[in-house]
Amino acid sequence: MFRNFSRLNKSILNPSNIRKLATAAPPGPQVSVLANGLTVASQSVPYALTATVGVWIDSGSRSEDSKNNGVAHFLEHLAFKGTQTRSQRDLELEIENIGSHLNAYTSRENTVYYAKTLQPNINHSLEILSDILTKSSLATNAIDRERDVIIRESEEVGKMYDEVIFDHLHAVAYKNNSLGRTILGPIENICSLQRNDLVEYIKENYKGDRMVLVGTGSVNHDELCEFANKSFGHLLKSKIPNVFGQPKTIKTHSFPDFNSDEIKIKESSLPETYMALAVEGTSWNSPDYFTALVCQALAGNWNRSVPVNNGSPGIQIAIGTGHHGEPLANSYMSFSTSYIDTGLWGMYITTDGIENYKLIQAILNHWKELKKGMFYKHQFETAKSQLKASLLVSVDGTTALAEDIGRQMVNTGKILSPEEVFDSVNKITEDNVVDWFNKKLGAGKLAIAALGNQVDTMPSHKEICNEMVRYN
Amino acid sequence: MLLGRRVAPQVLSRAGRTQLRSFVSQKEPYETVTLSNGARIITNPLPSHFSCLGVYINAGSRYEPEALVGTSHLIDRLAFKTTAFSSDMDIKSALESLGGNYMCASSRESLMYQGSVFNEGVEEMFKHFADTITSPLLLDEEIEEQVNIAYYEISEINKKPEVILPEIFHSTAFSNKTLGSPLLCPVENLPNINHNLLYNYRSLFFKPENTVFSFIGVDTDNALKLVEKYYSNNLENKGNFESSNMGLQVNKDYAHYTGGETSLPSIPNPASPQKFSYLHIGFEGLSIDDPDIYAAAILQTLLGGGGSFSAGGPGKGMYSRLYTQVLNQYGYIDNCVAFNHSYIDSGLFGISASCLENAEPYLVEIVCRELAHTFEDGKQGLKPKEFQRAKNQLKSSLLMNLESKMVELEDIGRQVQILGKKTPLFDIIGKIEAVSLQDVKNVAKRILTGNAQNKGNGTGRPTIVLQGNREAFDDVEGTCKRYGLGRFTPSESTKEPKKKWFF
Repeated sequence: MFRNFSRLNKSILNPSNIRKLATAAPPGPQVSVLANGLTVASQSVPYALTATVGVWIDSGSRSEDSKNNGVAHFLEHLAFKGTQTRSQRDLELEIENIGSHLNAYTSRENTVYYAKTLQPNINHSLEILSDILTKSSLATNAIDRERDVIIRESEEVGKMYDEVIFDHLHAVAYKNNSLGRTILGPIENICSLQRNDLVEYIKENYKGDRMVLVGTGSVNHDELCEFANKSFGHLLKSKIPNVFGQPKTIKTHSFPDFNSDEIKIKESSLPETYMALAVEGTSWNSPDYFTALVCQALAGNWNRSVPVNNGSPGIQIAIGTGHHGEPLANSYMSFSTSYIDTGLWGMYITTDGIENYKLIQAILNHWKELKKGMFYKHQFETAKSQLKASLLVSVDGTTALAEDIGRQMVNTGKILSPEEVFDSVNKITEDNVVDWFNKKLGAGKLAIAALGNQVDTMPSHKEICNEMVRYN
Repeated sequence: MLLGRRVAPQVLSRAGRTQLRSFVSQKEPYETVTLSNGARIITNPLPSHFSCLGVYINAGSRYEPEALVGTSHLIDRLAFKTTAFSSDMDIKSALESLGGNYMCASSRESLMYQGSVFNEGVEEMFKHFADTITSPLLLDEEIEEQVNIAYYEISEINKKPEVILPEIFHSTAFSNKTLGSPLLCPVENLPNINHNLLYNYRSLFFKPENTVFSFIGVDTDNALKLVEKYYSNNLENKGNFESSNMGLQVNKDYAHYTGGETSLPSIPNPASPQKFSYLHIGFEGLSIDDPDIYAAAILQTLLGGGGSFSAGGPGKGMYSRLYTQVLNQYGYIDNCVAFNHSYIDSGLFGISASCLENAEPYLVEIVCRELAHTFEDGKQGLKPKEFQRAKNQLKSSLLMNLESKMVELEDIGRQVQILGKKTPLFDIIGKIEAVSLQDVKNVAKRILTGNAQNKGNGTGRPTIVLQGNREAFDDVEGTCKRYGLGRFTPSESTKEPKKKWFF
C-alpha cells in the first residue's frame, strides 16, 4: 500500500501521468457561455452542503475616465442600498434570515459580488444577487447618504500607508492612464458623482460578455446556466465583443506604457518612511506569469522579527545588520501584480532608519545577484514550493475556490486546474528565472513611490536606474 | 455527489423553514483506527489538491500539576526545534520548502500540531511532525531563547485588552485552577523552565494513548503506514519516556467554577484620543457533551453583536440583539458581543463589551438587562423570528466553517480526542433543527441564573472582569442580582436591592 503512495507522488511530478491523477481527484470546473456572452463557470465539491455563488465583472476603476473616477466603487456601495423590489432593510433581513452572507469588492480591473450560502438557499441567494446587480434602485437620497461613508472609507485608506504607496506607484508608472488612477477616486468626484453617472457606467460596462457567473461547492452547473439565462439573459452584449484576458477596445482602456519616474513625498510627522520600487512586470496571460511569481518568491520578504544569522540570504544580512549591527529597515516585501496588458514587479520597504542610501543599495545589490543567478539550488526550490503552496493550499473552502475560478476566468479567459498550475511552476528552470531577471531588472526603467520623514536620504531616480543597468 | 435527495430549493427557502437535514448525507467518509500502542487515527480519505495533517495530544494548561504550571506554553514554542534526527535549521528549511504551512498551539485542553501541504509532501511533513513529537532534544540554548521570547510576548499581550481579558476571565471564573490555570506561562515561573521540567512534562503527557492523528486527503492505509513508520518506530527506538522522574501526576480534577470579580487599571493608548473601559460578565456554561449545547449556541448567535463601526455586511448578524438593542442604540458603546466557550466538563457564557469612559454604569445596566431579557416571557422576551434566524445562522456558520479542510482537520481530530468518535453532521444538524424556542429560553435561564450544574459542582455567582476605573462601574454584582442573574447563597441574596436609577 505504501508503494501506492509513492506512485501517486510520481504521477504529480510526471506530466504524462496527470490525466490519471485528475480522474482520482474531483472533476474540474464546467464552463458554458450564454447567447449574450455571459459565462457560467462552476465547480462542484463532493460532500459540500454550502456554496459560494457570485458574479465577477470584467470592469473596475480602469473603465473610468478622470471625470467619473470612483464610480465603479460608488456603485458597489449602492448595490446593498435597495432595489426596485426590495428596500435596504428587506434585503438585509432576507439575507440574515436564511443565514447567507453577502459581500462585494472593487479593484482596478474587476468588480465582484458574491454570496455564501447553504445549499437549499442557493437559488434564493442568486435571485438576490441578480436583483442588486440588474435592478438596483440607485435612489438619489441613498447616493447622497453614501458619499459620507465613502469619504470616511477614503480617510481610512489614507491611513494605510501601504495602500497610499501603491496608489502613488500606479500613478507614477501609469501616468495619464486609467490604470494610474485610484479605485475610490478623488474626494471631488465622491462629492459630485450623480445618479446619471452610475446609470451611464452600468450601461457602458455591465454587459453580458463582461460577466462570469461563478458557483462553487454544492452547485449544479445546468441549474446555474438556467438561472443565469433567466436572470441575466436580458443583458446586452458589448458592441465590439469582449474577450476575457485580452486588451479591451473601450475608450478608457488605452495601452498603459510603463513610465520610468518617481514621486517622493516628504512628511516629517511620520515616524517611518515607506517606499516601493517597481519594474514593469507581467500581464495575467503572459507566458512568464508564473516565472514572475517564482522571481517574487526568490526575491523574498523579511521583517525585523525574523532572526538574521550566518545562514540567512545575503540581502537579509545586509539589511538586517547593515547599520552597525542594527537593521537598515523594518521590513521588505517583494510583489508581483498583474493586469490585462501589463504588471508591476518590485519591492515594498518600510524603515524608521536614516540610512536609506545604504538600504536602496542593498536592494539593488540583491537584484543584481539575482540577475547573475547567485542563489542556491535549495533557495530556488523553496521559492517554487512556497509559490505552489500559496497558489494551491490557500484554495481552502468554496469562497476561495470561487475567487480562484472567477479571477482566472475574467482575467485570463481560462481556468487552469491545480495540476496545470503545479506543472507550470515545476517546469520553470533556474535559467528561466535568470533570463527574466535580466530582461526586467536590466531594462533600466523603474517607478518609485516614497512617503515619509527620510525620503531625501534615498538615492536619486537617475542614480538608481544607472546602477541597475551598470553590470548588464 | 452523495447528497440525500434534491428538493426544489426555492420553494423551501421561501417558506423559511428549510429542513437542511434532508440535504445531509448519513454516510460520511471518515474512518478511525486504534493502534496497538493506543494511538488513534482518523482520516478523511477523499483526495484533493492538497492534504492536511494534525496531531492532538491530551495536554494543555488544565492538566498541568502545580509544579508544571505554564509549561504547556513553552512546549508549544519549542516545537520544530532540534531533534535526535535533524538540526533546527534543517527542519525549518525542510518545512519551508514544503510551503511553510505548519504550526503548533497549546490550549487549555489540547496540544495541537497542524499543517497543510501539497500531496507529494505529506510523508516529508509527517516525518518532521513525528520527530518533533517523539524525539526533541530540547537544547538549553533553545529553551533559553524561547523563555526570553516568552517574557516579551507576555508583556505585549498584557497591553491588549481583547486578548488578555478573556484569559483573566477564565482565571477568575475557576480561581486559577483547572480551566483557570494560565495559558501563558506566569512570569514568575519562567526562570524555572529547564530541560528537566520539560522532560517531565513530556513523559507525563506525550504518550501514544494520549495522541490522536488526523488526516485529510490521505487514506487510512497510508495514514497507518506513516504513523507506524515514523511515530511508532521512533517511540520504540528512542525509549523516550525514562529519566529523572519527578513523580508528577496529571491534574484530572473536575473544573470547579467559582465566579468572582477581577478589575484591572486601564492602559493608556497614546494612539487613540478616546479612552475605553472594558466589561466582561458571564456565568458557568455547558460542557461539550451537554444535551443543551445546541440551544446555548443558538442563544449566543441570537445575542450576536460585534463592533459598532461595522457589522461586516448582510449575513454577519447585523440584526442580532446586541446590534439592534445595544450597538445601534447607544453611541458610547464601542463593542458588545456574546461569548460561549465549552470544555470537557464545564463552560463559560456571557457578554464582553467596551464603552467610552464615564459610561460604565450604563454599560453594566444595559448588558445585564439584555441577558435577563433572554429568559423573560414578556414583551422583551425572545421572539420566534429572531430564534429562527439565529438557528439558520448557526447551521450556516457551522457548515461554512467546515468548508475549510484545516477547520475540518481540527474538528475531527478534537472530536476523537474528546468524545472518542466523530459525531456525524447528520446528527448535529438534526439536533439543531430539533431545538425549540422554549428550549432556548430554558437554557438561558439555566445558565444565566447560575444553574449549569456541571460535574465540578460550581457556585452560581457571576464572573466579572473589568478594565478601567473600578469606582465608575459601581456595584456590578448588585446589578446582576437586581436582574435575577446568578445564584447566590442565602446570606448573599438578602442584601437590599439597589433602587433602579437608570431606566
